[in-house]
Amino acid sequence: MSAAVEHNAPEVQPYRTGLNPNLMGLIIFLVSELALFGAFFMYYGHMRFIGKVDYPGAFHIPANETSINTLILVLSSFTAEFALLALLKRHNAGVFFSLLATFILGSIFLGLQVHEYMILGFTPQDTAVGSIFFSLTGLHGLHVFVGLVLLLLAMIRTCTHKWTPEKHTGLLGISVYWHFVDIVWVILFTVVYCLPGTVTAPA
Amino acid sequence: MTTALKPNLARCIWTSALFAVLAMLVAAAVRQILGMDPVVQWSTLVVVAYIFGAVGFIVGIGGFDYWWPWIIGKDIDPHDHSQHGAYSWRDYFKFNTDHKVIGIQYIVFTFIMFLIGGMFAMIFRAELANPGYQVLSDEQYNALISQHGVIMIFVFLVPVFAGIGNYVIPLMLGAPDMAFPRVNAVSFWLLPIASFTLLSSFAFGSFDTGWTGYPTLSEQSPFGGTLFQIGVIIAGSSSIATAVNFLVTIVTMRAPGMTLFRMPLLVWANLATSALVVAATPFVAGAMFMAMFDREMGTNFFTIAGGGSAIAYQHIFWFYSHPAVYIMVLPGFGIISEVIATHSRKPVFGYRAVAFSSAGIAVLGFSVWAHHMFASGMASWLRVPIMISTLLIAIPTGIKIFSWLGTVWDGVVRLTTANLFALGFIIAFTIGGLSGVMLAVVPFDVSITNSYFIVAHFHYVLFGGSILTIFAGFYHWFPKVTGRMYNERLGRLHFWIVFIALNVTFFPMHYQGLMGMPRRVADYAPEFGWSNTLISVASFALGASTLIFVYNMIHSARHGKPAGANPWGGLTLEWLLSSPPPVFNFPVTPRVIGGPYRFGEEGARHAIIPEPEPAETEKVGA
Amino acid sequence: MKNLKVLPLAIIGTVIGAVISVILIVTRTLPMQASEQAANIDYLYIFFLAFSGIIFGIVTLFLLVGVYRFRARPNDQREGKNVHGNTGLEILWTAIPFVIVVACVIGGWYVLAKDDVYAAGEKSGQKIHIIGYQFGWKFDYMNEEIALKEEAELVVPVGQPIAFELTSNDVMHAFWVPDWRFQMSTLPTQTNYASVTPSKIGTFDVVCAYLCGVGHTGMNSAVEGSIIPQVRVVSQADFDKWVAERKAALAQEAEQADQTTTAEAA
Repeated sequence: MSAAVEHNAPEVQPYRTGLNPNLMGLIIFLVSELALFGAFFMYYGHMRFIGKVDYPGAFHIPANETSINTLILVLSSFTAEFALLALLKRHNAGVFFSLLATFILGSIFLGLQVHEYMILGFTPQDTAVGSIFFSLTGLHGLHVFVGLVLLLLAMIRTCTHKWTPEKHTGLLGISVYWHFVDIVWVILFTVVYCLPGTVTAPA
Repeated sequence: MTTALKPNLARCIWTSALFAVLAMLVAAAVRQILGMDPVVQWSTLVVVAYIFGAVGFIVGIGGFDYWWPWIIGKDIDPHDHSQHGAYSWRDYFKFNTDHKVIGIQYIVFTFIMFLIGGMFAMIFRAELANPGYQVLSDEQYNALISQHGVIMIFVFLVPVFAGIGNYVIPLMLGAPDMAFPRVNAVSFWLLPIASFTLLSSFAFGSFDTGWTGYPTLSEQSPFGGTLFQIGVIIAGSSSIATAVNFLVTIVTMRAPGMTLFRMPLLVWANLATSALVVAATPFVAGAMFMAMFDREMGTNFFTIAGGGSAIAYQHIFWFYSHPAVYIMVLPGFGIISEVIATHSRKPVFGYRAVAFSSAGIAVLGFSVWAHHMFASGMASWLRVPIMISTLLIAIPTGIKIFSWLGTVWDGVVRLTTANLFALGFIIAFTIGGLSGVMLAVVPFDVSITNSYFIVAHFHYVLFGGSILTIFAGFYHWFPKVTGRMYNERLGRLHFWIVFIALNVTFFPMHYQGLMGMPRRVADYAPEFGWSNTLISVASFALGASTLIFVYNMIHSARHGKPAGANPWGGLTLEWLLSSPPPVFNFPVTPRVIGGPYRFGEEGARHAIIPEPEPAETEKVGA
Repeated sequence: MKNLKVLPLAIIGTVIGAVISVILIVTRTLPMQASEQAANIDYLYIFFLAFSGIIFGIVTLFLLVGVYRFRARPNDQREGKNVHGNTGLEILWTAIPFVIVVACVIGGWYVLAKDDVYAAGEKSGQKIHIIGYQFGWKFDYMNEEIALKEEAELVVPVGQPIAFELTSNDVMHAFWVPDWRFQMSTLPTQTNYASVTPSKIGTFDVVCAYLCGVGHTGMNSAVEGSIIPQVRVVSQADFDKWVAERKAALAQEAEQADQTTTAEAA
């Protein structure tokens, strides 16, 4: 297909909307991700708030420990933003270390989540509420994991000096994604851990 | 380099096999580490193999080739068009970023799926032709109706509109391509995987739950049930990716001068549809994931033993699957507006009302899901609000029907095949819409839901609605795509057979349903004997008519008389280009100077393509 | 002014539509009205047919007349009239469906409220627990404390509301008696409530309306070879007699069972 390469696509001057298509695409995609979470939240609400089904067995949702975890994830959103600020000052090492800090905070978050799974005392197979608890937090964990991979790629590209203050849609997109993961966690934390009636007292 | 290493279908075979085997090994290793028993659990391993085999397929076809340098921190060339455009027939079997090639890939592929789904229908209509069992067993019958529904909905009706939109919308917008050409190609190549997954379920005991796949029945079905869930998830991801692409394309890539109210109505319809897809499709994916976890991981979302809730599945499922009906019909409305206006030489009557009614249907579409569950035992306070919102949808739909009538009135109606299909659609869709109004009313719905009345209703909407619009679109843009005219005589023959057979097939089903014949049964009370024979015969005619269409399309694409750039005298941008359009669409960015349907206005134009400016030499070799 | 030109046609369309409606209503085929709810639902259906026929008549007439009157001649190069809309007309054809929708909501709501006699049934009539299974129904008479065996027929008294509680042992089924215009699903994970008041004595077909697996086809008493019994509606006196018989039979069975267990124990 060398014939195609020689073709020069004509220059495009679209209608001026002032929108960045890549960023817009990402945000629309994140809306649909939010809808995917919505499906699981719908089930959660159906069971817990309308059906009033309780968690299996005697155990407690570790809301206090998870608050610390929430703080860690919220903090990582700030470090992700520092990367962009550092880039605007053309401080490449600053970008790298901000990303690294975000990566480390995200990893700690994920590690603590796995730890929580281990101490919960019930499994995804234990009743419907056990299933939805693991699915919601697991789906979010999967998104954190994807975010970590993206941060890794961003760090690689920082090392090869691919971001400039003028052209860094990739970095911007990764930070938007990371904020999205953060926001979803805050919603999830509120609904699953904090709303009245969600926490069963330790038996 | 050998062909096995270049991005093509040959590479797909070994990459998907490699990914599948590796994933199975990793899964087995994980099971070993976690101490699960048995380590080799075939159903789990096959699920993993299917999912990662799909990823391997996309890698093999070349979906990630462009992104590799980005991933390892190197530069990518945004002006790399090496995968763009078709220069020989082989390019249609490759990962191609040209929206016109992808459009044709979509249309041809989904049409083949339409034929397969139609074949399934023929087979079980043969069984239903007479009371008693002749051709099929109960298991085979249930498998075939389930496959018929799933194939028609997820790999024909939803994606075929993405195909038509893919071909036409960038042209209508004056854009060189879609906003994300590579995402576009990936979302097409997900479809063959989804279809393969769905059809291969026959080899694993099939699935026998109907296309809805309600638990707890879906927990009982053989391993094919899991493949149904995976297939739907893959098809869903494909349509989400396409919808994101459409939204960004429509918002950011319009030609200068194309304000929102100068957009053709097909663009409006696709805008509304894509918004629906983005917000609704994840719900079906969620429902399928939960049902799949129940089957394969022992979770308890919908199980009896684990205290699950079967009705929760129905809520989540229909929260997508009712909007899905509008996903399957709104783009068709857009096509009808184009076809009727162009072939009746008259502006669309009430352009803004038609555009806003699309948006209105899209918004209302989210509030009506539970009307599928009036007899399912959902919360009783939900019934009346859902009845009201469902009935309200009749208003924007009515606006559209009456606007099309207003468009025909005082026009100069050319009875081309495309226009015949559009006019036939109005009649058939009116019938489907009226029975829809009836079914929205709770007491009536409860008395006949899950009967053949429902089958009649949704076939009038999806066959009489969607499929007639698809044919109208095919005939309308055929000259643009191939550069040749189709055979008008055969086209009309096709229309009349389809239209008559459609009514003979689906209209008697209303009566059967009212008299108490339930849907999804292989046998029925003897009193329905003769009407079923009539329906079966008509459905065979319906199937046979497709052969005329296929012959007409294939023969005319090669031997039809040249069409010229604008055989219909259309005003929208695609008709300003040659037929077929150049590889990069517009040589110069067009300028939109007026509305899209300015028929009957002396010398009126929708857009102009300015003369190319004197060559700028600086760009060469960049 | 254009409106005036189409007004006669609209009237003709309405008349033709009314004729279609009348034909549809006269030739309507519905099962027997065997419950008190059936009549109301059938009135709804007649109302639907009435406006459906008229709308269909108007749409089709305008379409056919429009296509005929404004057809293009061979090699016709004329263009249509450059009309982009007519606010009055558009408001009119938004208002007409709106009126129909309002009528449907009122009618539907009224019938729904009238037919929803579950509470009444709980007070006065029989309370029957329907359990769906693959592939058949099992009925428990909760007032009489009679638990019928699987595959036994449902016998109900005429003229009093019957409150059904529906569940399922395995998958979703739907208990449908077309002659009663009554359908409700049986779900394994919840209990559904519905009621109906049979008004005719006789036997009526029982259909499983929701796909429930390989035996779904046979779960329909109208199909030849089906082992599903029809529902039998009897007079109150016959019902009381039947209840007494069932109770006697049950007592006898229990006795026999006791004897067997004693014999085994001995």
